Amino acid sequence: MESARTSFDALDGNVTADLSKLDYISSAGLGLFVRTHKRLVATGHALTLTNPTPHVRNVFHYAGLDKIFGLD
Amino acid sequence: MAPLVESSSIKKYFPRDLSALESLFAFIAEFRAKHGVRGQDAREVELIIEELFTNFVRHNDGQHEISVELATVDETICIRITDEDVDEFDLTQVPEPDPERPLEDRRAGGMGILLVRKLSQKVSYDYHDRTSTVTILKRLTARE
Repeated sequence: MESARTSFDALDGNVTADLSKLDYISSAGLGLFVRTHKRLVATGHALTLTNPTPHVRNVFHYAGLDKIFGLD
Repeated sequence: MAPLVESSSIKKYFPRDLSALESLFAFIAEFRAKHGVRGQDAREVELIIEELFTNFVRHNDGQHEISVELATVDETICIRITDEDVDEFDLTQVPEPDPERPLEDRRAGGMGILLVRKLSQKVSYDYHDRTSTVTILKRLTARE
């Protein structure tokens, strides 16, 4: 998780993340996506997520984050 | 507290550190294989247990290991997580973040309990003799 946080903190500009290889996510991962998206939006950019697996899509939906990330 | 289900539940203790998540997941995998819990059910069971264990590690002030007990009854999985000699902290009473709030009003944390509630049919908390216990019932959609 720490290495993921470091990588996400280094993201800049408009970013698209392909989630097709992500088969599991918890609230820790959701928090990372939220924090990164908020940081990018603050500079006029955005984090876009694509190709979620069914489980990951469900988790974003239950957390109410699917609309924010365009996964609905 | 009596075992979840006589003769068929398994229970293991884990150090109260997030580094124990790896062995916790191995324990869950062993249970899943034995009881035919697979696919999306498997991911959701892992998620529920990770969120609750992490919550206990972060918010309870105990010194002992945390126990995780698993059992299946018909098409339902029963999960019990117990933490001894801790102050009372009823995570079922923690307000959930409002999933309808816009991004600028959302914070990065607080979603763990929301997810546990959404993925479970029943979440209950018990505090007795300085022991916190969370019991989850989750209906399984498909079993081998």
